[in-house]
Amino acid sequence: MRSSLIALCAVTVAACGGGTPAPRAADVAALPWDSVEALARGTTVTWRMWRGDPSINRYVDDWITPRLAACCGVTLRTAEGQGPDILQQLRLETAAGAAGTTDLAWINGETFAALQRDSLLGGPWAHRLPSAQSLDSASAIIMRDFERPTEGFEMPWGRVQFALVYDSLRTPSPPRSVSALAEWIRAHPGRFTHDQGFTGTTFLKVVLYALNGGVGTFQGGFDAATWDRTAPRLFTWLEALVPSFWREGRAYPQSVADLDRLFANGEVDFAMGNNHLGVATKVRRGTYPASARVLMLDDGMIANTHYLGIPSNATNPAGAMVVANFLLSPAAQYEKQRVEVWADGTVLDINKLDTEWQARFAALAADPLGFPDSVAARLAVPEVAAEWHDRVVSEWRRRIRGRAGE
Amino acid sequence: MSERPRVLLLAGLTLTALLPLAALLLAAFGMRWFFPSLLPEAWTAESWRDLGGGRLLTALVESIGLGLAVGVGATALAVPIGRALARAGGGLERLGAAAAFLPVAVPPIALAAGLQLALLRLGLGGTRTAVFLGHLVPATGYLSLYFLGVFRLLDPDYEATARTLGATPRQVLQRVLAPLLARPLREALALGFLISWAQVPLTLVLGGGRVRTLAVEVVAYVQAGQDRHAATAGLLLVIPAVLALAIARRSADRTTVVMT
Repeated sequence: MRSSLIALCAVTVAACGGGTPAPRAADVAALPWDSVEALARGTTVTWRMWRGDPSINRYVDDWITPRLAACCGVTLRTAEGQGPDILQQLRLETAAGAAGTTDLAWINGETFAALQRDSLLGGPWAHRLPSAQSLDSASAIIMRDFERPTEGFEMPWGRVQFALVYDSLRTPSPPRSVSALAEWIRAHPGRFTHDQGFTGTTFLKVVLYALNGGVGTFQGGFDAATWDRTAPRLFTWLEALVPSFWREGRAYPQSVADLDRLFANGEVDFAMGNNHLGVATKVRRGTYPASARVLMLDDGMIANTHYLGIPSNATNPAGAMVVANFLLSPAAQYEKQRVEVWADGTVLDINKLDTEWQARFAALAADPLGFPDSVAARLAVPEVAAEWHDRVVSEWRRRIRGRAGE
Repeated sequence: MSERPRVLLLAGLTLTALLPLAALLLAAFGMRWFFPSLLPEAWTAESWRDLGGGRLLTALVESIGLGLAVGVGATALAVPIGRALARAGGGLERLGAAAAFLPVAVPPIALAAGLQLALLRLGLGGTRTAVFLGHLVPATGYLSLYFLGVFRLLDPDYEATARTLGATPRQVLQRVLAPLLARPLREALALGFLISWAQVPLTLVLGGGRVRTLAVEVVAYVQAGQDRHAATAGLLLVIPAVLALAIARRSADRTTVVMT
């Protein structure tokens, strides 16, 4: 069996790695940019990313891939995998001493923190990209990932903001603050819930901040004493309210996708999502009814950024940098933000672009189905250290879902 | 059984077979299909246009290629294993059957975790070869059990009789065993194909997300709430499976095998 495996291995030489060790991302980043481009020409880059959204897949496969081939001679190949999968894959590859199968990975938040802890990311490299000059480098929401400085180990790629979704026909005057939402839930039993995943936890954090004097209380790293003082307010709020949740709070949708289905079919009156611009996209696609609208609570809505990282065992860091540089170009960022494409917010500072691109980005903001940018920006709240997020998850499981006795 | 209940049963069977398919068709073309509407508000061929773009089509080709390779590979391994076990008899047969049953009984995700490290060490992480070898494990297990049953029923005296009558081993294979085994072989190919066809965890873990079969696409779309694409991929998933079963069935109708 073993000898036949080796024979098969010999057939797929390319996949077997071996031979000369791959260059490290930090070394490649030290080269002049045209040398990086020369190294990348004629290579293939494997990009591990979430592949569950046809709109994103279309953007990557039909828009990015052919342009990269044309401009830089790089073949882009995508692979499925999100946060925990990427972490698991890289840990195993490193444990097995195998050549990396990922050159570029879509990551953020806890994944970035975990990858950094295990030294699984290559770098620093991101600050060396020519496109990085136009980054909105003044924004803490973009340059710090859950308060962790990116320090060139990951490149900001897209910026989103958490929002609730309501149906303007069913709920003509929705609640606009956390306290008004609580009253609304009490008055409409069974019509509100949140999912058990990342988005649901983001909602709980919005409430946590609102009940404890805003995000400022939680900034500057995790602090156990602050947690002990602030968490009870969130959980007493929830314990009083969950009997008025969907199914009396005894069950929660697994994912945002499940919550979307409940909302679209009239089971509940609110959905939520991590990208407020994406609501218009979901209306166009028919995931939501045409009367669905974005709802932002005055207490502040969490904004966060997603990034691209290069694993430390990547075999083609030069190719990965060329891909990242192209993804950060005004053209690629603009295309990505179009509501018809993906509606993923740009990480560029529009004022650093030339006037032609400034005008095009400004026109995007004028979309009739969109939510006013100025309001979204006023309500934007940054992410705090990932441990707060983890604590909310585990405490919610223990006190709220555990109580449901499932 | 009298006529009436039989008609009702048949109608019930037809309905349970066709209704889910009809729902899939509606979901694959429908837009804004919300409770309590009986039909979608609008229709679109958006997910079918993506077929032309290649994503689902590539996944379909990947699935068919893998399925055929696994069907052939697992059958080639399972015939000698099944035969050896059936001829061994007694404790050895029971032990062998238990060993063949193990990869069938173990959940695929546990199997995948076990295989992943070994395949990574061989430098096969994230390759099609890794996925093929991974699928081969449960498929060979199933088919070995299947052929154990086949050979247990196949009287060894057939071979002995042919040999006594002067047939060479080659003639025994061509004139006696091949016709006797034609039907089980076709069924085994179809079964091996289907085992590979429906695999998700093994494909995802061993393929490292790079090998995208149709089943993997369906799961990704369902998890992401992309119901229209999931329904489209689901329909594509049904067609070859039904074809494989039909081919196995047809060959079964045409060949009559005498088994003692």
